[in-house]
Amino acid sequence: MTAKEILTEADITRPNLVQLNRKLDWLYSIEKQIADHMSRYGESDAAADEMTEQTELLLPREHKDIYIYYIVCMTDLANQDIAMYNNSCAYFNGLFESWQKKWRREHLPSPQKEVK
Amino acid sequence: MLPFMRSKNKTSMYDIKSFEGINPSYSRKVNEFADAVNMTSEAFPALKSAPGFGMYSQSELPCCGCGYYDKLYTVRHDDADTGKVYICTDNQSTEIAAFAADGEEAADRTMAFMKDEILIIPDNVIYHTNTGTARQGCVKEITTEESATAKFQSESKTDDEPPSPYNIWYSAYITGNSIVSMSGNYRPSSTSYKFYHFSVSDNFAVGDVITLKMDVKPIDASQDSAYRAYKKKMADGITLKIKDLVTTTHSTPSGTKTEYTSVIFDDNAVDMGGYDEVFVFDVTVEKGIPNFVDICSFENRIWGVTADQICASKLGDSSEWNDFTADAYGTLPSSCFKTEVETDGSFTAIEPYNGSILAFKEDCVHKIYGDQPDEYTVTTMECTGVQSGAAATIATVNGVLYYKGKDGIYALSSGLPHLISQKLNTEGLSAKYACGDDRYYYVEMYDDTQSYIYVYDTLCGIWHMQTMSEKLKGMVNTPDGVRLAGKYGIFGHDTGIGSDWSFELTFGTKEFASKHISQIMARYSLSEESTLDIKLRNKHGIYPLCNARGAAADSILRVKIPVTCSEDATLIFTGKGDFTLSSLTVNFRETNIDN
Repeated sequence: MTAKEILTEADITRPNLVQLNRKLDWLYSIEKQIADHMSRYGESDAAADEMTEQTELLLPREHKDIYIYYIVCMTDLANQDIAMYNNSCAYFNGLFESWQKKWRREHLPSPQKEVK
Repeated sequence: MLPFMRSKNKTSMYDIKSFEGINPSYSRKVNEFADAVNMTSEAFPALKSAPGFGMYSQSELPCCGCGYYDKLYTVRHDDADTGKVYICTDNQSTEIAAFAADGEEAADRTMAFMKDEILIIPDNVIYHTNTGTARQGCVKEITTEESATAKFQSESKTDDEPPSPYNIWYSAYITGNSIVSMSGNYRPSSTSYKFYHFSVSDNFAVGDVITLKMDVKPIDASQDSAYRAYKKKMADGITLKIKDLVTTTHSTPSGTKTEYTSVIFDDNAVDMGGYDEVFVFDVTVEKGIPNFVDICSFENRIWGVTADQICASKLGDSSEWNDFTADAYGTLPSSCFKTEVETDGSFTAIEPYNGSILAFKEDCVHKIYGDQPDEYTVTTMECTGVQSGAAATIATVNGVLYYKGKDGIYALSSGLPHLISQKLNTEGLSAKYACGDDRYYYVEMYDDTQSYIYVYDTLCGIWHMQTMSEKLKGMVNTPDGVRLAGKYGIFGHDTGIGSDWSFELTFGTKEFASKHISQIMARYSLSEESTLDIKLRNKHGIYPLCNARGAAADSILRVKIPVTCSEDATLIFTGKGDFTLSSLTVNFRETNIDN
């Protein structure tokens, strides 16, 4: 699943005028968080150093809403739409938390990593 | 994880849930819009894009008029210097007139439909729909020495002069009830033939009312004042009704010929001037239709207005306009009608409305009501009438008559007409054609460069505007919808993707008292392949806000759009295809900041 697919679906979900580079930065940010969590609990591919539209993302397609709603949250925040941000945020937090729990259940911590 | 946030911004909202049409004037409500192109009130109170006008059929001949009666009829002219004029349907084209190449063939045509006849002006041609044939309503036949000589040479196939029984060349003689052709014998070979100087063609029929003009020559008359008065009267013409036409069959060198050589009238109808024997020459027989400005059909008559007269045809006969004879009871149930009025100015239009006839001038309206010509009564309303040249802008929609007056579009129902186009910026625009369907009144307005279709929703009382690619030659309503006649094509509402549309919503100083616009939320639907583009214009410039493309048919999206703070704002909506704006919510942030 590429970054471009995620951004296209995010634009449909929340039409916006945010610059593409800024959205790619947001996507890089969430991708780094995901990679960090993955590396603590089991082996995984490292996140790409640079985020472009062609970058393959770490999470499979069934978890795409994590990426999409992170972009939506940040868009609402940039729009100063606090009510919408809070709603999107609640949904994103739920998705992200449940993925983190699932990942922890399915992957042993790396021996060299300290589990927090 | 993302943190939740709290906002302390104090905001207020302005909801627009009803869009009230185009209003380009300075005094404008928030829900009215300006610079509207191809919008319609079809989904009122929502705002919808109009489907636009597409071409239904094309023709190689330029159009100069159209009308509908069971089918769409167009009048077309040949622009290849032939000067011919045709009346056309989908599958038939009939020549109705031929003009000298002086441009008259391109003049605007008006049609009036009565049973199976169509009267077409200014050609004064009557087209019979059941036979597909046309005949001239105005016939003028002149017999002079020259014309009789030509007739003789054609008949006898010689270059000789026609035989004359007298030294002075006569066409005919008159009696108290007839005009009879003079005749003479000639013998080009061993056979003797007879030649009739005067005859009328089969364009005339029994019952026709004709005008007979002639130069009379009473025998043995003294040259006194009575003689001169009589000559003048007959030269000016007398009106007579044909009682009978006498045919004569005779042989000619080219075969047997049958012609009307005598015309019979009522007894003592022809003025003999007190003389016993009157010969005539230079005879003109004519019947005609007045030079109408506008015509219409009402109660089995064609009605028309000339510059200064209101006329009605004979009952059921669109070719007869001069028969004023009474029936056996002294009444006029089927005769023609003609009247003048006392008001100044020229007539501009005529239209049936609400069981009576309305004859319009620019500054007054005359109403004619009654059952038959001797009962017709004319009343006058001093009010704005139809502008000169705008007769075709009259249309009735939902029982209300709409037309273009001198200063705008008027609606007439009961009482005096009232102006309904105050909100339109029509200054400098002319109007020529209009039509109405069961809800909308369509009127074409144009300037030197462009043509516009203004559409008035008679149910909601609001205006919209649609673009038209060319100046029209006629508009007509049909059971299949409105049809617009362009020069080479017939246009109707397009069922395709639709046209480009746009409109502007302006928020004035009233909404911005100590507030700044912060967000707008548009609730809209956008069909597949359609596009929407929203921009904000304020004193600092134009800023793009949103650009959307329809993902699926009938999808509805709720979009919140951030807008830079501004003390005044105009939202510019543009797009293509099917679009409906259901509501628009504008959020204002109350602030003390001035910028």
